[in-house]
Amino acid sequence: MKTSDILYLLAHPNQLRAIIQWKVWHSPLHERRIENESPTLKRCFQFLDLTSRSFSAVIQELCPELCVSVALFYLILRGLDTIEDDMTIPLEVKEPLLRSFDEILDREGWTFDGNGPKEKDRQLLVEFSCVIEEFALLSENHRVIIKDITKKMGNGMADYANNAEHNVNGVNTIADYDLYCHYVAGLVGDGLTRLFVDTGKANPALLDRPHLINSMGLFLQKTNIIRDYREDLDDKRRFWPKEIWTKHIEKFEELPLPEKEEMALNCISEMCLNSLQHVDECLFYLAGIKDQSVFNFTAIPQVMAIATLALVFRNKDVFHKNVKIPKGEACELMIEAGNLRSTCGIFRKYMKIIHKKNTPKDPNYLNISVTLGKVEQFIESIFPTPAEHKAVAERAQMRTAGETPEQAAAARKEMMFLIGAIVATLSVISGIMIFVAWLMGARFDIAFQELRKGNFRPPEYNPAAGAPHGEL
Amino acid sequence: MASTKRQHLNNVLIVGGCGFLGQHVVTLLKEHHPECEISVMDLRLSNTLAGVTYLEGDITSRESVDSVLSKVKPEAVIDTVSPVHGLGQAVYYKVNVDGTKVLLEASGDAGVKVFVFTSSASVVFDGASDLISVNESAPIASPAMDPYTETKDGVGSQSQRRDVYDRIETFWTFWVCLTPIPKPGAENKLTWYSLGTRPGDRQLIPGMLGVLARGQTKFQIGNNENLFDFTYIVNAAWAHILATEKLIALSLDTPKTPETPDGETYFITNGEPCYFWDFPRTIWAIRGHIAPFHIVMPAAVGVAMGGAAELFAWLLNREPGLSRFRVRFSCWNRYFDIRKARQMLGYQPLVKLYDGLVETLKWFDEQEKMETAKKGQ
Repeated sequence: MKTSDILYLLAHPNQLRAIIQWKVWHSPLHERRIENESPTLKRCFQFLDLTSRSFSAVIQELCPELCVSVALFYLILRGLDTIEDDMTIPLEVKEPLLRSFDEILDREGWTFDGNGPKEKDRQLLVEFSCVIEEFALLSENHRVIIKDITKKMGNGMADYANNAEHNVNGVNTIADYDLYCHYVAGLVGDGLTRLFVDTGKANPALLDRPHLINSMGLFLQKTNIIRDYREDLDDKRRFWPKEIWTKHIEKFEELPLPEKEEMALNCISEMCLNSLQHVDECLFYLAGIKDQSVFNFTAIPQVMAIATLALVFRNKDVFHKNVKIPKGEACELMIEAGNLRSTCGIFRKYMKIIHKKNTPKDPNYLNISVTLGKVEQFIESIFPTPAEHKAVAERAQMRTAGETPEQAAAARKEMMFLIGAIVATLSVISGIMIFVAWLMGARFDIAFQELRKGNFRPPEYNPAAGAPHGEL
Repeated sequence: MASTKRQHLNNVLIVGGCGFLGQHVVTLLKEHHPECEISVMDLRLSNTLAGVTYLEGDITSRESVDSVLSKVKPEAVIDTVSPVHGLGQAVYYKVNVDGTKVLLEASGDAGVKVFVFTSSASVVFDGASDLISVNESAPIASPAMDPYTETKDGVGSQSQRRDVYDRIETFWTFWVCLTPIPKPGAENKLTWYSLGTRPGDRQLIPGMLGVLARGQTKFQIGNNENLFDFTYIVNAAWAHILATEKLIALSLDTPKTPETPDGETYFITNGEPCYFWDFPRTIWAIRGHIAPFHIVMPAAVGVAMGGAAELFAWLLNREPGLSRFRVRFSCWNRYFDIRKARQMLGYQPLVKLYDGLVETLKWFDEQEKMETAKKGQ
C-alpha cells in the first residue's frame, strides 16, 4: 500500500471502515470444499486466482451447482483470449485455433505452448489439459452451453483478427461498437444466463429477452472501454467508435491535449451516454435473478461499472492515466449490493453524481438528463414511491395513535375549543380587573408614559423628596 | 413507427382543427393519410390548409353540429376543442361538458364510428401533490385544480379555481391523456377518448426566455432532482392519428376486452422525463447562454420569496414574476408512465425532446425577426 493510499483512507474513514468490515466480517455465502476437490480442479482454481483476482473471489462464492461450471467457463474464455491477444502467433496458426476451440474442449490432454514468453496467462494454456479434464466432468447441459458460446466467440475473434480494417483503424460506427462488445461481453452474459436458468437460479423468461442479457455485458464492457482510453492508446488500440469521437475531435490521439479539453470532455460524455443507455435493462435483468449468490455475482460488477462510469464522466484524468474506483469504495459497494432495492439505490446515488457533473456546455446535456430520467422512471416502476404520502401518513398515525384522522381532527378541535375557552376566561377576568382599577382612578396614561421612558419599576419611596409634605 | 403499412382512413372530421393541437393533427393527417378526406370544424376559421374542407360550427349548438356532420359524413371525429384560458367557469362548463356531450350525441346519431377526444393530464393533478410516473389508473383529482381541468374530463363533476390554471399554463405542458367517459347509447359503438393538450407553448418557452433576458439563469430553486415530462405538440397530434387508425381497424361487433384499444384512456408525453431545471438550461444553451455557476435555493426559501413577490405585485397591482405556485411547480415531480399508449396504440414519439426544442426555438427566432421587421417599417 502506498502512502497516498493510506492518506486517502484517513481522509475517507467510511471507506476505511468498509474495507475493515469486508475483511473482518464478510463470510462467503458458499465455500468450496477444497478437501473433496481433485488435484486438477485445485489447479484450475489456482489459475483462476492467477488470471483474475477480482472475478475469482466472486466465482468461488457461487452456489455449488454453478461454481465449477462458471470457473471453467471463465478459464476457457481466458484461454481463447490469450490466443487472440498474442500478436506473436501468426494468423494462419491463430485462426484455426480460434475457430475450433470448442472442439479442442473435447480433446483430452490438449495443451498449447505457442504463446510468446511475455503473454501473462501463457501457463494456463500450457497446462490446459487440467481444464479439459474437469470440463469433461460437467453436466451435459453445461458442456453444451459452454461449447456453444466458445464456438461463437472463437469465430467472432477470428473474424476480427482477419479484419485488417478493424486492426488498423479500430471500431468505426456505433453499430460496430455494439457488435464488438457483443462478441467480447454480451456472449459471456448469454452463456452465464443459460447456466443460471439451467440450474433454476434465474427466471427462464430472461432467455426470451436477449437484449437484456446483452445489455448486462455491454454496460460493463463499454464502461471499461471508456476507462481504458489511455492504456489502449498506449497499446495502439482504439475501441471508441469513430462515429462518436469524430463529432468532437479530428484525431483520436488529440483527446488528451490541454487545448482540446472541452471537446474531449464532451466526447467522453457522449461515450458515457452511450453506456448509460443500457442501465435500465441491466436493472431489469437483475430483477430476474432468484439466487442470492448469483445475484451478488451479477450485481457486483454492475455496481462497480456505474461507480466507474460516474468517476470517468467528464473526467479529464481518463486521458492521462488509468482511473479506478478506490478500494474502500469497492468494498462499500460489495457490502451494499445485496438485493435489487439496494442495488437500485446505488445506481441512483451514482446517477446523481453524473447528473451533478452534467453541464449545459455539453451538446448532449439534455439527452443525458433524459437517459437518467428513464432509469429513474424504471426504478420507480419496480419500487414505486408510495402514491399518496398523505394516505401513508394517515395509516402511520393510525398505527401509532390508534385513532383515525377524523378522530384525531375531532380531538384537535376539542383541544382548540378548550384553549379558546381558557384564553377567553382569562381575558374577561383581566378586562374586569383593569376596568375596576380604572374606575377606582388608576392612571394608566401615566403608567404607559413611564413605561415608554423605560421606567419599569415604580419610583422608589424617597423620604427626602417627601420633605415638603412635612409641613402638612 | 407502429407499422409500415398504415390503416386506410376515408373521412375524418377534426373539431377544433384550427387550434394549436388541431392544426398539427390536420397537418400530420395530410402527410400520413393522403387518401383521407379531411374536414375541420371550428368556431372561427384560421390557419387554413389547402386540400382540407373548413366549416364553421359551434359544438354547443346541436343544430350547428348536425349541419356540419350531415355535410361531412365522417367515419371518425377527433375532438381537440380547448377553450383558451382566462375564460369564466360558465364558458368552460358550456364547452367542455355540454359541448362535448352535444358533439358526442350528434356523432352517434350521425353514425360516426370513431370518436377521439382530447382531455388534459391535469385532470389527475390536484394542484398540490407530486405526479410520479403516473399512469391512466390514477384517480381524477378531487377537488379539481381549476374549472378547466374539472370540466375537461368531459363529465364535469367538480367546480372552481381558474387562476391556478392560468399560472400552470405558463409552463409548457401538453400532455395528452384520454379519459374514459360513460358511453352514451350502448347500441352504438362510439368510442370515447379524452386527450389533453395545453396550448401552452406560447407560454412556457417565452417564460424561460424571459428568465434569460432578465439574467436570472443562475438561480435554481429546489435540488433539481424532480423529473418533469414535456410533450412536443407534434407527438401529441401523432397519438390522435394512431388512436383513430386503431379504432377504425376495429369492427363494430368486436367485443370490448382489455386488449382492444377502444373506450380507453391514454396519457401521451414525449416519454422523456428529465430533471426540471435541465430543460430551461437547454433552452438557454441553445440560445448560446450557459450560466457560469448556479445558486441553489431550498424550496422553502423559494416559496417565501414567491410569497413576497406576490405581496409586492398585489401592492403595486402588477402581475407577479414569481409566485409561490410557480416555485412549488418547479419543485414538483410531474411525469407519466406512457407504456399503455406504447403498447396499445403503438405510440412512439415522432420527434425527440431535444429536436422539438430546437424546432420550437427556431420558430420563436423567426417570429421575433418578423416582429422586428414590422417595427422597422
